[in-house]
Amino acid sequence: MKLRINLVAAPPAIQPGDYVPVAYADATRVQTPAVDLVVEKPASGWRVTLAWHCAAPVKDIRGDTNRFADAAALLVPVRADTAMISMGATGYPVEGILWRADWKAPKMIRAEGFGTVRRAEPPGGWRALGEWHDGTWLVRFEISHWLALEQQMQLGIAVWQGAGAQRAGLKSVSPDWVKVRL
Amino acid sequence: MAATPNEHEPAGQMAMVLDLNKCLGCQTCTVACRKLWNKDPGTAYSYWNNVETHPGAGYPRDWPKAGGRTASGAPQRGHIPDLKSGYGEAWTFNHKEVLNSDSNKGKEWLRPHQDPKWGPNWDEDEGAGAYPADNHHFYLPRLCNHCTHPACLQACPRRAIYKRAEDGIVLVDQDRCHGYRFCVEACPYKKVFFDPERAVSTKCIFCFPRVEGGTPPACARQCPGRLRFVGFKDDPEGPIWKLVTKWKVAVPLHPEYGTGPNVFYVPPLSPPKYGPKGEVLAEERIPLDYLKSLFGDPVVHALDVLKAEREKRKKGQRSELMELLIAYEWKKNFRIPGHAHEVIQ
Repeated sequence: MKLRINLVAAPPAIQPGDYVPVAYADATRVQTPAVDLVVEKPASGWRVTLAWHCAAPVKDIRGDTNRFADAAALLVPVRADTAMISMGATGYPVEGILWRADWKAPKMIRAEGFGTVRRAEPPGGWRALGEWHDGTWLVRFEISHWLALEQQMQLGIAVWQGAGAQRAGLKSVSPDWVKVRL
Repeated sequence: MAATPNEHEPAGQMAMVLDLNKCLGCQTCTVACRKLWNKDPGTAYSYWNNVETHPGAGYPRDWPKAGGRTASGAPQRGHIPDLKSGYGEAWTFNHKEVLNSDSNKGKEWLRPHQDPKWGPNWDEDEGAGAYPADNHHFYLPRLCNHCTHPACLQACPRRAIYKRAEDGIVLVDQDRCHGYRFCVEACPYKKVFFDPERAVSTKCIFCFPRVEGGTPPACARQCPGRLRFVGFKDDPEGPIWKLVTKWKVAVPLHPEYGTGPNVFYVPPLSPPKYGPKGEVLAEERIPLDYLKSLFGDPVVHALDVLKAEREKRKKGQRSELMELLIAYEWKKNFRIPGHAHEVIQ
């Protein structure tokens, strides 16, 4: 499956905490307008590739205090009728894989709503490799087995531009789940 | 102001008063704090406690610019200082070359490897005014204010910052922290720091393991000038209540930021200005407006009380306030009942 997905800025108004919704009320411009998504199902597992324009990659945050790394995540609902924009809700968990340009390996994430994300080491066989070339990030997720994806067949996408100080809920996201059709 | 979900009224609020008339700028507090808590490579630039010269740019440079809350209580967007021009990077020195310079004795001078253009305490003792007429400066030791309504706590989308119910100390749960730095940004005092090596935020912990055992924080206990007072804010037998509430000589820094700081300062009195012929004038060297810009209007009353009590003492009369501030017995600077240890789940 190959698709161009138009992303939107995650709305600041619904972010957790009392600071971001007010202090970043003007952060409504999408920093990553689109990603090219490729979903493949090799003999075993999944291969998901994301590509997006990034003029100024940030691959390392060490050595300074105000630097944020580029990142991308895939999110999958564990059960149907789960809201994507809020990263699930209590009783409606989501799980995903988070790649960051400054990490050697991706993390698995789980959440039940805003502010509840828990990072963990991913299962064996979950990998992510990012390459930046000529203004484009190409990130390939290799996922040996993902039960939730196989059951729900839908994906959410999030991209963070480090150069734009994007982190946490300041991100570009798919407006809703993307149906996976192979 | 409404409490955020993980902000609640503590049973008691630990607080500190610092008498700026006694601060020598010796940085013993800074060293005591750093040696105890900041040994990680990623925190080499950060000083949970620092002493800066005022008037001056402070640390990080020009920190009092943004963050905190508006007069109506709404959060204001702050900024994150950078390492080189904001905090100043931690310099490394050519110790090896100097110590191993037998063949080149006297020619190798101790110097930083970097070419620094800024750093903590860069403008030490510069102050303002013209010598000898009205030059002036004073030292301002700064630490986390363990605010009643902490901007850092309010800013964290992860609820990784919390205010302890037993003593109001504000801490970062580093297991929950994802290094987003909204706390660094929102704190108008710039007293939350980011450790880029561990990718988490760090801040003054008010030496809570010491406080739980009834021992003052290291910065306060090690102060040679005995200028720091520590205790519960509402303890009528303690020094904080006497200085803040009873005598009203200790005032918070930048109360207009709306966070309710729990670190208070006894403002500096001024020596007089000199006239053109060296005559002593009735004007004070530190402009009152400058002190008001730091401590708000209550600084005027605080200074008046200090002057009045000092006059009483000069006349040989007793002054409870002066006796407290002089700190004849250092133990009276602290009244810290030990309390339960925090249980980390």
